[in-house]
Amino acid sequence: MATGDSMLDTYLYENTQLLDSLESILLNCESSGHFSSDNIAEMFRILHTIKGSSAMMDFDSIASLAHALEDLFDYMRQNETHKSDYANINTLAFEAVDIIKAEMQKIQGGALPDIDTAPLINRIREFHSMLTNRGSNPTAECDEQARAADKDRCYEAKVFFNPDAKMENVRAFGLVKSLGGLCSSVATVPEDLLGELSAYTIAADGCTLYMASKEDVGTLEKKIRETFFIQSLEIRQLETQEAEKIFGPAEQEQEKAIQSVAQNFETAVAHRQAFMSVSINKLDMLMDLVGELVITEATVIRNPEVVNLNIESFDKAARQLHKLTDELQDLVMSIRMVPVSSAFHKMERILRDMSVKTGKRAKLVIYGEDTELDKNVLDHLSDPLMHIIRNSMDHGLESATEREALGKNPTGEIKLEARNSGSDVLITVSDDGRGLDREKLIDKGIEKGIIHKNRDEITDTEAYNLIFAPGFSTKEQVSEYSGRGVGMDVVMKNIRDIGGSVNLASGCGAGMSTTIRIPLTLAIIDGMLISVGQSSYIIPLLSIKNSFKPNREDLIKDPTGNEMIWLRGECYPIVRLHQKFDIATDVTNFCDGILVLIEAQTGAFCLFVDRLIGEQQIVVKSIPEYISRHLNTPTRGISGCTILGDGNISLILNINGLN
Amino acid sequence: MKTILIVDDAAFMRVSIKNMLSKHGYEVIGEAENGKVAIQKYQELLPDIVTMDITMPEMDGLASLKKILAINPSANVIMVSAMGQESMVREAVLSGAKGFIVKPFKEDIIVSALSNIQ
Repeated sequence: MATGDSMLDTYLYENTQLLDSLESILLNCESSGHFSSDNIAEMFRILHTIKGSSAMMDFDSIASLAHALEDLFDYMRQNETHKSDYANINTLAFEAVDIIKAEMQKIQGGALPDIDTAPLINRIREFHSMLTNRGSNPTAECDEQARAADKDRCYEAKVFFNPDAKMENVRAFGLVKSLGGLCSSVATVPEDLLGELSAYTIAADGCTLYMASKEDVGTLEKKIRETFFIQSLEIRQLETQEAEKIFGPAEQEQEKAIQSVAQNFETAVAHRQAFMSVSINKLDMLMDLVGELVITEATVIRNPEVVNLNIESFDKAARQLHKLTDELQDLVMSIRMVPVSSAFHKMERILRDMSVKTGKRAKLVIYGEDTELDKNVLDHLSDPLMHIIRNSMDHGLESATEREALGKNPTGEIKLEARNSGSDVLITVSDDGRGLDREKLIDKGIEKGIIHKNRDEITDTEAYNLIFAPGFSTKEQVSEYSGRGVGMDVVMKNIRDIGGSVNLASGCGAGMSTTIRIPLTLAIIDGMLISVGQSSYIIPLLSIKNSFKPNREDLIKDPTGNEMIWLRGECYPIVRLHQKFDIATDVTNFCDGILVLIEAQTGAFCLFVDRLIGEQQIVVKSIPEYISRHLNTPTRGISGCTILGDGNISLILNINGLN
Repeated sequence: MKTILIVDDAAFMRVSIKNMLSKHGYEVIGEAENGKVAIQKYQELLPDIVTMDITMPEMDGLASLKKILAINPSANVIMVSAMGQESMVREAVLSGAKGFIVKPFKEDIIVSALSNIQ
């Protein structure tokens, strides 16, 4: 993403984040049918910032657009708007967001913003004046008199503790306890002060307290400062509107109301970055170094001269070293893991746009958004997800009238689900629309010459998988979004690129689901070390079904002379690794070596190797460019390399390239 | 000048804290090596502030804290805890300890904590 100009990079990074936030809040407001004062204030602040930064960078068209929208939200901050205004507000705001996003993309690519924002700005300003002239009746504002002397006032305080003090969650706990005498209720964000995690959260983001008290702010401030190690304190009285949101109507049980609304408060402004941004380059370097560290640690500890020495102090130190490297490795791996929620929630905008364009109503239901994936992998998921959802909206879901006639809910449902499964993550997109029509697909497949089998011999899966064929599409009209038949095969390729696979399921008339299976990480895998001749290779453990010494009787040759083997009633082709890679070895007779049954995407086969050495955890390194550059074709059959504990290099087999 | 009673079973800790605090104008008027002795010394010397280690033989810091507060509800007792003693620190805070510091700590930490006490 870096353009080389750090100021520009910061501008792009920050404002892209802000735009995403803005869009998210807008979607929230639109679906809830209500603009809360917090949301309005937040959006106002975002636009204000975008305006300022863009002006600094001389991107005047963006600045003026942000300015116009900022003014509109400023008006909304201070005046009531009617539900009938919301549609307009949403349309104008989403348009503005799209334009600014598009301009930022241009800037990122090295071009200059060139969209004429004047028409949209005019429309915004016209709408704004229409509202002003209409003259809205101010609602009951925060009424000073309402805060009678004997009523509870509401405060918000943000506290940071001295970082060297530690146990921040217990300190916050103590703080809450000390306020008990002065306040009728106190709530905190984070809500839970018991878990270890809360200590980290408070250390990073501070602790926010919401207090209901008859005391004045000075008294409360003095009390708070009695607690040790308060590094910074900001306290303010909340206005009636804000207070009401947090503390709710007086009759409700105070504690509960506070806690749940304090949570909503946090989620409403959740997109404000609570973390530190780190250059991806540094993270990659860190990961590389940790990978090297793991290898080097193994080299030291398994050094043949040391291994047999049996020195207790050395062994103890080695164990400690191993423990630390393990922890370090886990931590670094987890840094790159991000929850899928960001990618999932992006789909809401897609859904909304498709809803508008196709006239079909649909809602997005998300499960398992906290499931984590490597950031790199997640970045490659967005496009496929987008395309699958567009397909669902375009082809899958029926129109509202059709759905009603079928007895379905006129609003379609698109479900996005993520869950862990072993060392993979399963992402499922399903809709409750028409589903895949097997016969129609087969018709098209035959028409396009893609499938040649007998109709009855075609399995459902094979029929569904036809949609992945390049140039395939059963939709008569090509819409802007799908139907050109280029989509699903690109989806398949993108997913294969991240080491994943796609599975389709469907019930005719009952919707369709697409399940994507992706490995958690590409950097470290469990492998089986095997040897052929003097060389050793790694086979990814997950793809190994089993290994065995073959019986002479089970070995056969097919009509073309290919060697095959019978195993439990099935016939598998054999790939001689020594032949494939032209390695000198004494083991050429099947019965002297080992057959490894491997499950690849292209089918199962048996790999013939000399012997199995053992399971190892492997840090995957890609083939250095100076090697791959000299091969005419991409290195088939090799997906990477690694350094073993004894210092030798081992190549990692790409099983999909072997058969 | 504020007077201090240092309670810790490790002589090293007592000496360290004494050194740190003396430099900053506090007068260490007594030391105790367990919770029981701490109560005796408290009644004898009535110090302004008590630094109370948590894990000690005979009687631990938590029990000692409670007894001292029973004698004088406004006693200033600061707990000295190790990492991982969260629940005991919580209980101490609930019982009325004025605050706590976590081992290992540098001089500025304990000084900052004490300065918070009026």
